[in-house]
Order: sequence, then structure tokens, then C-alpha cells
Amino acid sequence: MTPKILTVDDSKTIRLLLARMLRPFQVEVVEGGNGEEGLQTALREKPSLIILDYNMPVMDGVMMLQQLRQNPEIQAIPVIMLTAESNPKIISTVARLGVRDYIVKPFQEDLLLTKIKKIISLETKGDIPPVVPNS
Amino acid sequence: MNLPTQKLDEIAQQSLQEVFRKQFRMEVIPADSGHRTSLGDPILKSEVDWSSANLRGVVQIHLTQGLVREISLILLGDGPDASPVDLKDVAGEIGNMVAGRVSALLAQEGIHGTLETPKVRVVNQEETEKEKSEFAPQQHGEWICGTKRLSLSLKFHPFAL
Repeated sequence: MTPKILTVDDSKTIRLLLARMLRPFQVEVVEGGNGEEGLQTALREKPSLIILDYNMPVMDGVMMLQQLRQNPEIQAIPVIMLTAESNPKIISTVARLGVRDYIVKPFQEDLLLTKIKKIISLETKGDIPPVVPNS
Repeated sequence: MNLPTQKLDEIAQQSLQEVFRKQFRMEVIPADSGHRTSLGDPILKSEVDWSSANLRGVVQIHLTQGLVREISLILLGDGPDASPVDLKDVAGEIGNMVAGRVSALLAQEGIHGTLETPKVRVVNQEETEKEKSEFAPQQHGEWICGTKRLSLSLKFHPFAL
């Protein structure tokens, strides 16, 4: 079965960047523009992994994570935080909520791909070469 | 804020250069008086509020639309399957990343704060100059990326009593 990755970020730029980065792989990418949309999409799509921003309108990443962990249907989904925020209090809060990794923007695409591959298996599509990661 | 101006200068330079090198693979250099922004190019102002227990601040970046378009191509490509993106959204994310680095470098100096979501609007050259004088930043730098100009301003002050 094709794995599904949910990207939750209020920046369309980041959601498109992640979709472009994942395009060479056999993975379905679904999106949410804030924590509330992210939760709804997580419930509907049951993704294999969530890539989650912190600073978002309507519902931030921490609140979404708290609600995700309280819902038995989706509480076990692994989460990687991808955010410009590096406040130690926030990092320790999300660590307590069981995030698998915390990546601070600006980020290297190859590092994020490595972290994703530690959690889910990413098979390359036969016909599209992988994106050359920035270094 | 008890940071000397020189430290704020270093923080501004490091933040901008790290974001542009790491995410966009672009170099930014300080602008000298010989550099000029291309006339008529609209400017996008991306502003991110920052706050700690007793301080508040603003990280403000001005980018020409041409530079934002160039960055958007680097990030998202321009092939036939490239999705259209709002340049204001790209400018917001640039501001977000730069403000994130500013905040992280302030934290290394013992000043811990959190960021808000970026606010972006299109301004013209005249408005930019007027706002610049009213804003009165503690740190302001003009920069060049390729042939295009940008600026970064930082302002921090105690919460009003």
C-alpha cells in the first residue's frame, strides 16, 4: 500500500516544497493549512507520517499534537516537527508529546528525507529521478 | 534590550546569510551606495512579531518582487508540473525563516522569545522610506542578492508598563 504523508503548514510555499521533494517517491501527500485542518485530514486519511509546523493561525502545532494524542484513532501516527521556532520550552513540550524529530527551518532537504526514511519506507518511482537535495 | 549594536548587526547578518545559503543556495552581501534597486519593482514587506516575558520585538524584511520570484523558482522549480504560488506567501516564509534564526541567535545570548506568524504586504519605494524613518529600528541593513536588493530591520523594546 502506498504510504501517505500529511504536511501541515500555513505556508503554501512549504507545503509545495515538501510535495516537490517527495514527488520522486511512491508516496501520497495530503495537506492541511493549520492545526484544525491537519486534525480533520489526519482523521480522514490516516497518514503514515505527519510533518507539522508550529506557528499557524486557528490552531498551532502544539495544540494539534495534543488533540492528536488524545484521539485513539490517530494517536499513534508519528510526527516530525518542521518549524522556524526553536524556543526550548516548545521543543520540550512537543518532545513530551512524543514527536519523532524536530527540524528547524531553514532545513536541508536531504536531512528531512533521511528522517522520513527512518520512519516510513520510501520507494523511488521508476520514471522520475530524485530531486538533488540542497547542501 | 542589553545587547550591543554590534551584536545585533552580527545576528542580522548571520540570520540572513544562513537562510539564503542553506535554503535557497544564494549569497547575500552588504549593499554599498553603488547598488540600486531596479525602479518600478514592487516591494514585499514581511514582518514577524517576537516576544519574551518582558520584551517585544519585530523582524522586518523588505524584498523586491523580482527576488521573491527568483527564490520561488529555486524552491519550487518552473517545470510544466510546477504549481503556482502566491509571491506573498513565499515572502512570508522567507520572513518566518529569518525571524526564526534571529530568535535562535538571541536565545544563544540568553534572550528567549517566541515568534508570531508573518504578516506580508506590498509596499512601494516611497512608503518603504517613510516607514523606515517611523519604524526607527535598532538594527537596519541593506543587502544585495545577485542583482536584487533587500533589507532587514530589527527592533526590540520592553513591554509598555
